[in-house]
Amino acid sequence: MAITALTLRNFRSFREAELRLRPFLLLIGRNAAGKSNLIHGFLFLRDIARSGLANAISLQGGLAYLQNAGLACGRDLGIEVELTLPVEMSALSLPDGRRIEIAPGVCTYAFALGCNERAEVREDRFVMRFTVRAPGEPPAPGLVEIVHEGDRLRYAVDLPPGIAEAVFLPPALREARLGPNALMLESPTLYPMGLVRRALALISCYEFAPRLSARLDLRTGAAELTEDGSNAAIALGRVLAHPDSRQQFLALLRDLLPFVEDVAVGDGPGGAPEIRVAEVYAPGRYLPAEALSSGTVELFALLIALFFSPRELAIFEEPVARLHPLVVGRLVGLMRDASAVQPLLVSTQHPAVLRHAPVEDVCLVSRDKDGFSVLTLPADSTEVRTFLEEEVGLDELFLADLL
Amino acid sequence: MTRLNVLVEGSDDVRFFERVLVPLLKERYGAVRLVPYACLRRTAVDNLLRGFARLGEAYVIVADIDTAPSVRAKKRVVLARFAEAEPGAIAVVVMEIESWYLAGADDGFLAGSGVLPLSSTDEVTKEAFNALVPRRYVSRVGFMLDLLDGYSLDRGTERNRSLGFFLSRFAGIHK
Repeated sequence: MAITALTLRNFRSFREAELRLRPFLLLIGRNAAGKSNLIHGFLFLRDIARSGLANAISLQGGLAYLQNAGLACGRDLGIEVELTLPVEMSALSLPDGRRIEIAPGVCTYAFALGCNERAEVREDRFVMRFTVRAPGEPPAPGLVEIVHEGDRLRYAVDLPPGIAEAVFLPPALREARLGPNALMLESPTLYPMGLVRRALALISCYEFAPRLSARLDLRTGAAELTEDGSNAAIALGRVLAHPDSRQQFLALLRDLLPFVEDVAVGDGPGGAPEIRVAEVYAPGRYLPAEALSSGTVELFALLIALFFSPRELAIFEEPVARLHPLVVGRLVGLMRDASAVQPLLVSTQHPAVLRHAPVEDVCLVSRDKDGFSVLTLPADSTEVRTFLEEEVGLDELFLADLL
Repeated sequence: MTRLNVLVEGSDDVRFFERVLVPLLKERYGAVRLVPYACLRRTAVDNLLRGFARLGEAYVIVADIDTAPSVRAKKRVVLARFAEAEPGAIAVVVMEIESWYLAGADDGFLAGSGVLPLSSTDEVTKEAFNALVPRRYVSRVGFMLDLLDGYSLDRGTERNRSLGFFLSRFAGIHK
């Protein structure tokens, strides 16, 4: 299930904004424009899906920090996320033996929280749209809507004639109850919200720590790369353990760093896994990660995140700050490549990234006159298009504040 | 000996030239330098070409044919874009650099990757190439790099006319 759009209302610095995702989208803007707040919208959803609403609010610093400080209290905080249906839901057998096809459509999940001492659920709604094709009949639109009111769930099903509601939502599935201040997104069993929950739980936001090379001292840790990259040695060990992924990792790494002869993960001081690199200039002599630059070690973590840790949405905060502009060009190419498998949202202020991106892949975050964050697409601006036709680069427009 | 500056569009071109063509070109020129120009402005490219002329260095601008109806038409597009460019210093890739990657790849590797070797890659576009990338690859770049292992210029020139022309014109190699 792919995440295709996010709408925020009264959320941090946003009054109301909609972000439509593309496979590869660059988020640019000045400091404090609201890039991180937008990313927090995705992370709030992710945390609800993983840990529940109460924990997600706590992780964000409390409800007071989630709502916009400038808007009058009493306005609900609202989030809406749009996803596309998974391909595996494309076929269904009916009890009468007929086999129907369901073309992927769009799902929207929306909730609103009241501004009180504790979160009060004011809206909790899920809509799934699709196209149904029954044998010998033309395609027809279908829809399932679930609205959570009090502790009840109200189902509305709109299907083409001849297709029973029970096929889509058997009565047993409709008997679920939910507490009045819980969200459907928290429920592990509520059909088909489990699909949405699973997709949102698989959002990752990578922001690799400065001087990462000096911080790779974890003895134990998750096999999957953590968002700060601190377990990069462990995650790399997993990649290198398989000959095929090892070969592909090395090929991609050498494409960015041609001087690399080999990479290994061994036991460092204290037994912690340690990344070691041999250079073509001194074959067979492995240098420990501490001897490598931060940018070099970050590239390891970036490649693992891009190609060996599939996510429903991978977000990168400032991934190129310590990289050479030529490496940035190659990395952007690899990012676009990776985005064919997992959508990428990249937040950056680095003009070099813009040199390698088409204007359609760029979203600008800025503040309006009232201080609210707004999202604009430079591709929609006649002015920007004119400048681009005159061969002023996107990076130059960004530096001149003309986007 | 004169240095040759090869102006290539992007990273995929750089990889191909670095691995396959630069070693050959070095046999004819004293040194070879790759210059990615897709992210440079038109004036910057023209300024570079003027600089090469003043330094007495040779250059070739490599461009994909894109939507141009013929090589000649594409050369006219390049000449219109870069005022300093000389007609004899333009090489057109038909269709895109991916077709050059595929042209000289090892048949055994292709077969093992589930790709039927083509007798001609003159019609291969980026999109058609991407559709051929085996599922086991996490990145199309990985597949492209593997295509260059065991690359044969004999096969390449046989299966892609624009690659043959490039070698003949700029490396003095007639296959």
